[in-house]
Amino acid sequence: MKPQFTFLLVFAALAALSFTMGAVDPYYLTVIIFIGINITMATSLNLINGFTGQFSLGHAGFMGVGAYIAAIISTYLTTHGMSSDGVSGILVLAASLLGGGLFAALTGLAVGIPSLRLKGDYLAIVTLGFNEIIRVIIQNVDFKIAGTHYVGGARGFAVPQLSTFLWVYGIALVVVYFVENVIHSTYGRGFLAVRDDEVAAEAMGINSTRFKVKAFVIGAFFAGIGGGLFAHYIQYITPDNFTFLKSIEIVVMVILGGMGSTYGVILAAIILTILPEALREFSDYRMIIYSLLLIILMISRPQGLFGNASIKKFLAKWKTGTATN
Amino acid sequence: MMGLEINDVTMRFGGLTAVGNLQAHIEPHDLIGLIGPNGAGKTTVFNVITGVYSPTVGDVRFQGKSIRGMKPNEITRCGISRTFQNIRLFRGMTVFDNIRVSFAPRSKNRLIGSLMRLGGFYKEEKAIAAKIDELLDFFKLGEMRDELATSLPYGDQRRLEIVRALATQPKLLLLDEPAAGMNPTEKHNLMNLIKQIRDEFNIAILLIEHDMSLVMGVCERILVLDYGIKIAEGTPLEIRTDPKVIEAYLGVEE
Ligand SMILES: Nc1ncnc2c1ncn2[C@@H]1O[C@H](COP(=O)(O)OP(=O)(O)O)[C@@H](O)[C@H]1O
Ligand SMILES: [Mg+2]
Repeated sequence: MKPQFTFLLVFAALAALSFTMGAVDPYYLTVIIFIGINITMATSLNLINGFTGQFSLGHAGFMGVGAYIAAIISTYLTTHGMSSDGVSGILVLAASLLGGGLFAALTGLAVGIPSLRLKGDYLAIVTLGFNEIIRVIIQNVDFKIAGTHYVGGARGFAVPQLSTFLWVYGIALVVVYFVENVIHSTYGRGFLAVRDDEVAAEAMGINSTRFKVKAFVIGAFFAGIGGGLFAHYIQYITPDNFTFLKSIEIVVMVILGGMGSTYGVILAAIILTILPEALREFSDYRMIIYSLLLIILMISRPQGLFGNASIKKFLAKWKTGTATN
Repeated sequence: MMGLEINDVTMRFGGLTAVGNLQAHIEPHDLIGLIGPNGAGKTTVFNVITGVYSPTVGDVRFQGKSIRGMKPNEITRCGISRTFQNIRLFRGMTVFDNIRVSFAPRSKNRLIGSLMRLGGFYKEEKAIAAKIDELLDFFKLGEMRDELATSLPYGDQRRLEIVRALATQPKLLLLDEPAAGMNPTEKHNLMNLIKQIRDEFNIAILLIEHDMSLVMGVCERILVLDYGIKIAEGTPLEIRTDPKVIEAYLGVEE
């Protein structure tokens, strides 16, 4: 079947499913929505970390950039005459997500160009630092337009609720479709070549820097959109939503999913979103059990749920760098 | 000048001169051997030509223009392609995909085309697949098309690296010890294959080989390096009888 038809079919199924969401308990609906957003986050990071072999630890930073820019746009539009209902609401959200995604992509370009020359650990440290910088910047920004607070520093930012099941899963579908189509084309093999052996990729005419920057910018774009969806669902965002802990959570999804297997990563996003919720009754011990389960999963399936590239191999490559002979 | 010119190239690593004042030229249809003892600087010459290193002193020119300072991917797209002494196949990919990578830089369908997948996309992918299969058949690797490249026997991996390099459509092919690790029969077949490649694809080949007798059989001209210095250049017969070459080689084997 042509991928376009698969896309339409899945979208139609999602649209049909969205009508049943009104009957779902609000708590479960929230978990379902978070799963969708995490699929977007993990699939987009998988393009950078899994398929292109870079080690970004700053994905929540791009998510935060997208969330705040999108929230600023929607707050501005809804306080300047646009309704948040019906068609107008759809337009407001579309404009906000696009704005948030593009701004995150620009940020990705600015961070990526100087830092993608760094290998493994260094790139991880730089992106981690970027994540913290974003958080600190947000914490110190607060302004008012026509009596309305924007950004709100550490206190937080109230955002209209616009994200729906269909929006969240429609976007997740677009991200999955995009990554899968690109990766499986001849052009997209360039990303995997850079991951497998950068020196050999260059020798085949692949501009490795350009592929890395492209993966980084596309990943940041979708992370920004994911952030926008998140902001417009929970209606109140603070800088603490986008700390490096969130970045690590997404990295774990990618590693557990198998570093470069889109379907493994989707499964990992589902499991790792449900797991902490299912462990709620253990309250204080929740994070301990969560970590133990992760360790057990990693030991029993070091190649990830679906992956063929094992973490061990990945770590070995990450440490050795690239000597040329 | 149409071929490759190496103009007085010196490559130093700290205090070590890996290549010193090298002067060489390769014409379009040449099949040239580059020999010398271990550590003589042969691989370094390849790394300088392909832009992995920028020479400390000197210039490299290809088809009349300087390629010094260009990045490896740019030099490949100028028409120089290589294999590696230590096999560097893409480990996570099949035989087919390893070659497919060489087509990626020239693919007309980039991000948007690959995403949209309209008619032109499938047409191009089909044409690329046909070219890959043709290459695989020429090298008798067709049966292994969908195997993981790293699961191939050693000799086949070396040949696959050559196919992958050829798929970039080079005018000059650099082979770094392609016979390393092969048995004598395989080595002999490979040397015939190299000659065949030169004629069939109508390209120039620069061949690094440790084993002097192998190179003597196929190359029309041979360059000999010792401690980074070119100590001799000439026909196999001239090289065989050159006292400096004999000394360099006997010095190693003793
Ligand atoms: N990147 C490098 N850094 C330092 N020394 C190097 C580097 N590459 C090669 N060398 C040195 O240069 C010399 C020539 O190496 P090489 O070109 O690999 O020799 P060959 O291929 O003829 O065996 C050796 O002494 C080697 O150790
Ligand atoms: Mg060598």
